Amino acid sequence: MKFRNALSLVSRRGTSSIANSVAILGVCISLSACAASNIPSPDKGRLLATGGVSQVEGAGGSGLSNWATITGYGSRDSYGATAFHSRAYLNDFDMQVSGAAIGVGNRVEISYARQTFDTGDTGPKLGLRQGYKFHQDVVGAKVRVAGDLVFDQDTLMPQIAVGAQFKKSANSELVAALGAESSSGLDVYATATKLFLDRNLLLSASLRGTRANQLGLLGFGGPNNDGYTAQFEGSAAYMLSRDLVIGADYRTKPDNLAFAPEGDAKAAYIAWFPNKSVSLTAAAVDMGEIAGQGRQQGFYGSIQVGF
Amino acid sequence: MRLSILKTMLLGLALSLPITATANDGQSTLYDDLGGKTVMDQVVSDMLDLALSDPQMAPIFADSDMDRLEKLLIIHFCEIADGPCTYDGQDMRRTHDGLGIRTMHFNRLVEDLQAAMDRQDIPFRTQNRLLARLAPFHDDVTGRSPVPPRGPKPASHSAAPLSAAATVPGD
Repeated sequence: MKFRNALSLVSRRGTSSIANSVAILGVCISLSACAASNIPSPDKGRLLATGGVSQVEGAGGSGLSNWATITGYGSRDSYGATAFHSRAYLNDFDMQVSGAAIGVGNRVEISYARQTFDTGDTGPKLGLRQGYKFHQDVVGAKVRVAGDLVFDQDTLMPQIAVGAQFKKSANSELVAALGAESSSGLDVYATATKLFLDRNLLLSASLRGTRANQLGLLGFGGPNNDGYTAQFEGSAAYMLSRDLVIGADYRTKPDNLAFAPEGDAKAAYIAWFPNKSVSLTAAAVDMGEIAGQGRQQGFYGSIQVGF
Repeated sequence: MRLSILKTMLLGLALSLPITATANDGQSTLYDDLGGKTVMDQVVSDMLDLALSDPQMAPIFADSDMDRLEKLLIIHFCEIADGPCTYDGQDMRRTHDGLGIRTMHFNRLVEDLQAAMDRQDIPFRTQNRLLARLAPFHDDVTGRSPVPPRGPKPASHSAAPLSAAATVPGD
């Protein structure tokens, strides 16, 4: 009841903020560069590490999980932008992700990421050529609809965001041959992230409706299931100090394809935020079973720069 | 091998949690844990010095009586931290009205406060316990909450931490 009141209060407030955010975004785009001299520079008006890092699909969050946070350090009166590069070195595959995102008014986030999944020496085992690469583009939008991660310390109210990620595989013929029903798809999600500042603890949970096989790199839908399924993403992060965070992620994935089972992904990470312009993340990651080659474990590293 | 790294990190996370849970046990108040009056008076003083030396922050204090502000903040922080003080200053929402304080300024002052607490070697977790009680004032300080009606002081403060501080101030 209390929660619902809070929700409606914040979402009513939110409506004007969204309009405000869109206006700021519109100004930026119409001038083709936010760095134009008559546009105020980003205020970096939020606290260190509260923007999270960039997750594997380019949204603000932790490595595997989407958080309800808006990327960068722009306050509600400003904007912020981030760019990142991540690499995962797994038992039989490597993965690279590059992307960028803009957060406006601490309300709206627009993100882009390009994922490359390199089969390396494993390619021939799958009937592919040596070093065959899967590519995928992901365009995301996220809107904070309620709550404030930092300021809501006197209630249990989390920061809540909803969003969508449009994904398009660049390997449409091959993913069709593997059994995928389509080479593009739309994920939708709702995320709640709560910072317990007095305990140095952050918890996040996300529900994602998706048809994606291996994040979408192996297409969408398949013989086992062609419809949307609800998948879970969870994070727990603990602040060791103002600039150092350790945490763990868990992410479930659909199992749509018949040729190989797909397992859940998990990671344990440490992230360092020396300042508001850069962050470094290192993780031990287990991406679950991929393409019949067994569980894929390895090292994950990510760098994010902020503007 | 790689999995063991994962396990070690998870174990580290798990071990760090119970410490957090017991941090507030015992008789001492947050004010004691922060270092008491000597330390906190210096923290407030340093925080305001840092803010005044910041060109983006200084204009906010242009019309302020800094000595009075410092005294009020010392008492306010003391009360918020369950110290032996009673803040009877004006309502938070009204005192900040029209000062043009934005979220950016609020967070900058938080950063100045963090720097001031660092100087006193206040542990990170103790710092965050204080910040968690100050954070909900954001909406009052930046003028996002409704202005309370004038007249007698309202029964409860507009931000919850004060009314939520059940501990009776003073020993």
